[in-house]
Order: sequence, then structure tokens, then C-alpha cells
Amino acid sequence: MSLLDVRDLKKTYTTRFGANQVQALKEVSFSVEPGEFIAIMGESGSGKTTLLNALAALDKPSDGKIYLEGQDLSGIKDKDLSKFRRNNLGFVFQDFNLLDTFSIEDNILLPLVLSGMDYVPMRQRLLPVAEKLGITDILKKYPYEVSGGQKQRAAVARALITGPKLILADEPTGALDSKSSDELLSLFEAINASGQTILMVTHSAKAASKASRVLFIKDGKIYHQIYRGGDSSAAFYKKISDTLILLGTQEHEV
Amino acid sequence: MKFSYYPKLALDSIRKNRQLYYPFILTCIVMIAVFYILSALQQSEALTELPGNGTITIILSIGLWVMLFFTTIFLFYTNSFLIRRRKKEFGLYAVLGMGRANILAVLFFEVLFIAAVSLALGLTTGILLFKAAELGLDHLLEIPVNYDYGINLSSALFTVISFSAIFLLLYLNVLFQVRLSTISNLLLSEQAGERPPKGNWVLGLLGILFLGVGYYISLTTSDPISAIGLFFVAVIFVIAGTYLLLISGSVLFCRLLQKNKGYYYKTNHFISVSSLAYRMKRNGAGLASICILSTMVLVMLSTTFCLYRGAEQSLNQRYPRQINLSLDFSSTYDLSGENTDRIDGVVKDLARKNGVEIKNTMRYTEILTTGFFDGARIVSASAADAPTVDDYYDLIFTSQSDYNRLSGEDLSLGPDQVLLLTRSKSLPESGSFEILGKTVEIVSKKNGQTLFGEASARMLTPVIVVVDDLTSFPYPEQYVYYHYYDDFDTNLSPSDQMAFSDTLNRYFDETVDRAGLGITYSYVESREQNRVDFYALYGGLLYLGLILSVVFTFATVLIIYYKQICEGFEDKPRFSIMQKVGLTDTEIKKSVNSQLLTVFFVPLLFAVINLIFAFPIIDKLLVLFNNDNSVTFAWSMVICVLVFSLFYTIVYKITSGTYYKIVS
Repeated sequence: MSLLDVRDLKKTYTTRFGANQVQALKEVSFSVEPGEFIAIMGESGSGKTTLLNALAALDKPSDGKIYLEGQDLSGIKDKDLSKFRRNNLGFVFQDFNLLDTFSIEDNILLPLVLSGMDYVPMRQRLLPVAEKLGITDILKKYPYEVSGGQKQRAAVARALITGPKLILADEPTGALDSKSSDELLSLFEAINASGQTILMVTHSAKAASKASRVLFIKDGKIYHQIYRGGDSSAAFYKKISDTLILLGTQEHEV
Repeated sequence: MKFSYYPKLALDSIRKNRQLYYPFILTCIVMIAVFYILSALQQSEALTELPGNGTITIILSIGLWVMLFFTTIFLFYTNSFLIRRRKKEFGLYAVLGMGRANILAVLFFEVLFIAAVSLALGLTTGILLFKAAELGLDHLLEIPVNYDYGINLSSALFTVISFSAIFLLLYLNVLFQVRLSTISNLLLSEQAGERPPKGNWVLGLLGILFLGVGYYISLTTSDPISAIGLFFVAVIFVIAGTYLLLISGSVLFCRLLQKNKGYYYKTNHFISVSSLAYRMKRNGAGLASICILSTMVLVMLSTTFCLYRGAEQSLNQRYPRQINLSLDFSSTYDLSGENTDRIDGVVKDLARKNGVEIKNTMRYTEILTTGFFDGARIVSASAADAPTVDDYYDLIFTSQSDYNRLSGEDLSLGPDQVLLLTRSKSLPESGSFEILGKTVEIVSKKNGQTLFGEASARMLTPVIVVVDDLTSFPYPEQYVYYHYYDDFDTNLSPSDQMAFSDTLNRYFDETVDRAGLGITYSYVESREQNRVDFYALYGGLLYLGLILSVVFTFATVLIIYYKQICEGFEDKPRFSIMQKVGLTDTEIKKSVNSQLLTVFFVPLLFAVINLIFAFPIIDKLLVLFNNDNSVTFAWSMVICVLVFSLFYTIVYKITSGTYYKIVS
């Protein structure tokens, strides 16, 4: 069974005065197997963010279904949605979204605290995750005291600590310099190698080249997909760039 | 830049920032209106014709200056806040090519418009409400009302000048702030890195210490005279302590909670405690201001309300009967029953001649001298000096027969026995004791000096010494006064009472054989003629208390409102993060609610605590106003706290609505 199954997803926005209808997503279907690292690429306005919001159950699709391990997201009651997100999904955002009122440690522990876990088991979960992400020595610091790369690693730790079925990452390298970006992407690769399923939205070909499969989305539709297979990251990067050129996308960045 | 563009831009930016500026202008309007009313009331005809107008005019003029001082500081403070919030906007102007001079020109027009609108509307409101204010004052002072309408030009001018000066000061402050900062500073001022709050132990402990000192002073001051000076010392300590404690202590408290892992890492506490630490760091000063202002309002209202409620009682205590005759003699001999009976006869004769019926006569004699308690005995003030003024007592000697008559008791003292009537706590309750060199046995000690009307007018703590024979005591050579009182009620109307009191006064001054009766000084007072003075004082104080409370309350509300807006803008991004991380809307609402509640009711809680600790010392101060009724005072405090809390809650409800609107 697929981990994530998206079927005929549609999302239509109505402009404020109801005059125009904008179709952000038109019949998007794809599925994600456990342990995959998927990148979704597309230019601005192609529907990437709309898709991600729908997957995260932050937004309701106009039509179509999303199944996570066979569970229909639209069947979850509103009041249970937050809990569902907390238990099954991990989020990594472009602008980190760390709370400046918490230390790095408390930011990472936040989802566990919300789930009502006790301090001692929380701590036991935190240490290996922090170790893996190389942020053990900044746990006591506050977000304003650490670099962007460190913030993003803290955010990844926050996403990982609940042991989610799927990590959704929205332009995770968007606010990072190239060195930090490389480090973060290597981390993603490592996490993925240890069995974690990741779905990442990006318009950086370099970021996408670390994934095992890339979906291209354009005008609200899945336009194309390519598998990495046994390619090296560099070779895959070349393939992605070619595809992007083919798609007529000028906006991709290195 | 074209000149005509400045005013347009200024108007535009006021309108765009209306969430900040309209409340500010409203506050200016209220302050100006109140200021005009206070100023015009001083010259109100109703007051200038009042016999006791000296008192009320002084009270009003003190109020006026207090208000001017407070208004300046307060408007200065709020205006700085407004400018701070708008620095980014100025930075943007600068980036778009406006020089600093241009920005300052725009700001000048802004201040000008705000000043013009506030003065115009404020004065209009003041003039319209003046009559209502005057009627209210007339009512409190129990004086007849007049219905002339008019504008007091000199007061209006005074108001315009005072507030123009304040607005000029505000502009200078803006000038200073904008001049100091560079463009990039202006642009970044709102998002400067936020340090995690660290509680400062020294400041926190100092805060607790200061509060403790203030409370200690209030709790231990036993004497009204020293209470006057100590009260202000205590107030300063409490203000300083409140600020330190709320700024630093509150953060420390949150840090302590965070150290307790078992408590902190719980869903309910996790977010609240950490956000509270941040809020407190930034809002400690604001909260302390709210707390101090609330305390002031509560103290003023409850004190003046109590004084007014107790005015009648104080009057009756000070003047136990409608007509009160007091005489001074030169020796103990003249205090004899024979002589005082003769004088009573003189009074009765005159009454009969005038067709006045005398009843409830209250006659007593006393010998007054000053002494002090040196720790073991009472020494005459003529023999030595007491270490401090607090230690002095007014010693009032009276006979047991007078005492028995006035109190209705049946006291029977031996030659060397005395009964003490005093509120002083340092004197012994019973046993052998030395007074003015004579060793006596104290039969008992009671708090009963209100039996004697005169005693309630004494500044020094009165000690009434009841003895078996007034003439036998070894009084000192100097500082001894021999008094006789003849107080009585009549069947006359209030105005006739005053007339008869005057007649009696003149009769004793001109007709009576003073030398023959041993009279050295005579004075007749009616309760009625003093009633006007009493009400001028207490009514005036209550009125001032009410007006200043309105002003302070308005300031409190504005600070609360600005805090809500500020926090709303700051919390908005935090909320969307929490939502994304998996917090439900209801969880967020719950956490926000508990934080807001804490932040809002902490100042009120501290204000009430301050008030409770202020009770003992204010209670002593009230004694100086002849108000010896702690129960009335306690009740008026309770009533004021309840009314104020209700009002505070309403303000909280309204302003937290603004907060939710910004956040969601």
C-alpha cells in the first residue's frame, strides 16, 4: 500500500468579489511509497503551495481525495485535525517558524509537550535527534542567537521528534546560503536513508537533485516526473535542469 | 517638495494610523476638558461667595497642578510610544527620498492638527460640561445652585496656553527621536533581535524589599502626626517596589516555573509560561504604571468617599451640640461647680429672654496641659523636651463626676486612682504609673476620647485623665489651661441657631462680668456655621478625588488599550506558527486567554494588595480630619474596589476584543 495517495485533487479559488474563479490545482494524482524522498518542482503560481497545504490538511481541496496510509484526510473532523497533523506529519518551512519565546530545545519539544508527553521520555527522544542534526550544543540558546542553518536544523529536529509518517518540507533551503543549503540537503538525504519518507516542495534544481523522484507541476497539473534511479546527484541535477528547460521554466535557480 | 503637500501627508498618516491616534486624541480631549473645568470652577461664582471658599479653592488649585503635571508626563509617554511604532514608516519615507527635514515637517503638521482638534473639541466639551460639573460640586458642598451659563475666558486661555506648551514639548521629543536614528535604524527598529528575558535577582529582591519597607511603615505608624510625613515616604517606596517587582520579579517568577521541569513541560503551562516571561519583560513597566494608577484611584476614591460619608459624624463629634460655649479661666478655683453653675445661669437667662428653649445640656470642665511619655512615665512638657514630636500628648484632666454624667457610667475612683481615655497604645493598661510627678494607679484604659468634643480637635494624641478631684493634682507651673464647656441643643431652626450663637458670643464679650467669673477668653460656635466649612472641605476633597480618578482611569484605560494593540501585532506571527506546528484554535485561544487574564489582573491584584497595606496609615491620617471611623473607611474601600474592578473588567473585555481582531 502507498504511504500517501493523492487522487484527482482539485482546488478552485474564488476571487474576492466572486467574479473570477482560479483553478490552482486541476486533477492532481500521484502516490508516495514508504521511504521515498520526493521533490515537487514548479515555478511560482504553479500550485505547489496549494498542493502542500492540501497535503498538510491546512486547506480543504475542492474535489478529490488524499489518503495517508489509507485514511481519508477529508474524513477527519476539524477538531481532530491538529492532533492528526501533530502525530502523522512533520513540517519544515522556508522561514523556519521557530517561536522566539522558546529556547531551541523547547521549540523542538513543543509538539511532544502538546501531545502530553512527560519530560523524561521527551528528553530521551530529543538527545539522539539533536545529535543526528548536530545541534546538541545550541539546545539552550534562543532562535535569535543562532544562524539560519542552525535554525532550520532545529526546525527539522522539531519535525522529526514525533516520528512522523511523512515530512512535508516547503522550500526548506529558500532562506539559507548555499553552504547551509548543502548541509541541510545532505541531512535530508541521511534522514531519508534511515527510512524517513520526505516530500519536499522546491524550485531549486539543486535541492531537487537530492531526491529519489521529482514531480514537475505546471498550471495546476503534474506535468512530468523523473526518477533518480542509480544516477549520481550531479547526473540527476543535469536531468532535472534539462527537464526544466524543456518545460520552459526560466525561474529555476542553482 | 511642495509646501501644501505636508499638511495633506500629515492628515493622511493620522488617518492611516487611526488605531493608534484616535484614542490618543480622545485622551487629549478628555484631559483638556477636565483641565478647563477644574480651572473654571475655581472662579465659579457659586464658590467665591461660599464662606468656606478658601479651602475648596486651594483644593481645586492643587488638583489643577497635579493634573497638569500628570498630563504632561502621560502624554509624553504615550506619544513616544506612538512614534516608536511608526519608526519603520519614517524609514520608508526616507528610503523613498524624503529628507529628515521633510519628515519633521510632516510630523510638525501632525502635531499641529492633533493639537488643534484636541483643543477645539476639548474646550467645547469642557464648556458644555462645566455647568454639570458645577452643579455636581454645588450638590456635594450642599450650597444653593445658580443657573448662569457662560464661558470663562481666562480659564480657556490658560488651558490653551498650558496644552500648547505640552504639544510643543511632544513635538520636540519627536524631533529628538527622529534626529537620533539613522535610516536603517528606522527601518529595522521593529524587528531588532529579541533577547530572551533574564530576571535580575538584585532588582527583583530590591523590589520586594522596597514594597516590604513601604508596607512596614504603613503597618507600624501609630500616630497621626508622624503619619503625614511617613505616608509619602511609604508611597515612594511602594511605587519603586511595584515597578521593580513587576519588571524584574515577574520574569524571575516565570524563570523559576521554567526550571521546574515537571510543571513547565505540560501542555497548559508550556506556552503560557514562556510567553508570559516575554510579555512581562516588555510590559513590566506598563503593568506597574497601570497598577500604580489603579492604586491611586482606589486610595483617592475610598479616602475622599469615606471623609464625605463621615462628614456629618465628624461634625457631630467636633461639635457635640448645636451651640457650643467654651471658656478659659486663669485658675483651678474658677472651675468649681459654684462658678460654673453661675455661668450656666447666665446662659439660661439669656436664652429665656430670647425665648430659646435649652435641652441636652452637656457641661464639663477640664485642665489641659502638654506632656510626653518617656517610656516609663508621663513628664510635663515644661520640664523637659520629648525626643520627637510623636511622643507628645495633650493631657486633658477631668473629674469623675463630669465623666459619669457624660458617659452615664458610675465610676468611683479613689484619691490616687485614674481612668485613662486614649487611643495611644504605648501607655500601660493598668497598674502603678507616674503622671506629672504623681504616682497613681491606672484603673483601666479605654478608647473613649470622643466623649469630649474638644478632644477630637486636638492635633496631638489626646490622653484624657479622669481623676476623683480635679483640683488636687500637681499641675505644672507653665502650659496649663483651664477650660469650661457648656454645650446644648435648642428648639431653633439652623439659621436661628447661628443667630443665637452670635448673640451669645457678643453677650459674653460685652455684657457679662468677665472678671467676676474669672473668664479670660470666651468663644461660642454653632454646629451649623461650621457645617458649611466641613462640607466645603470634605465635599471639595471628594469632588477632586472623583475628577482625578476620572483622569487617572482614562490614562489607565489608554495604557491598557495600547498594550493590547502592541501585543496583538507582536503575537500575530507567533500564532500562525503555532497553528502550523499543530496547536488547535481552541488550544491557542485558551492559552491566550490565560495569558491576557494574568497580565491584566496582576496589576489589579497588586493595586488591591497595596491598598490593603495602605489602610492602616491612611486610617491614622483620617483621624486628623476628625474621622475616627475605621469601619466606614473599610467599607468605602471595599465598595471602591468592587466598582473599580467591575469597570476594569469591562475595559478588559472591550480591549481584548481589539486584540483578538488583530490576531485572527
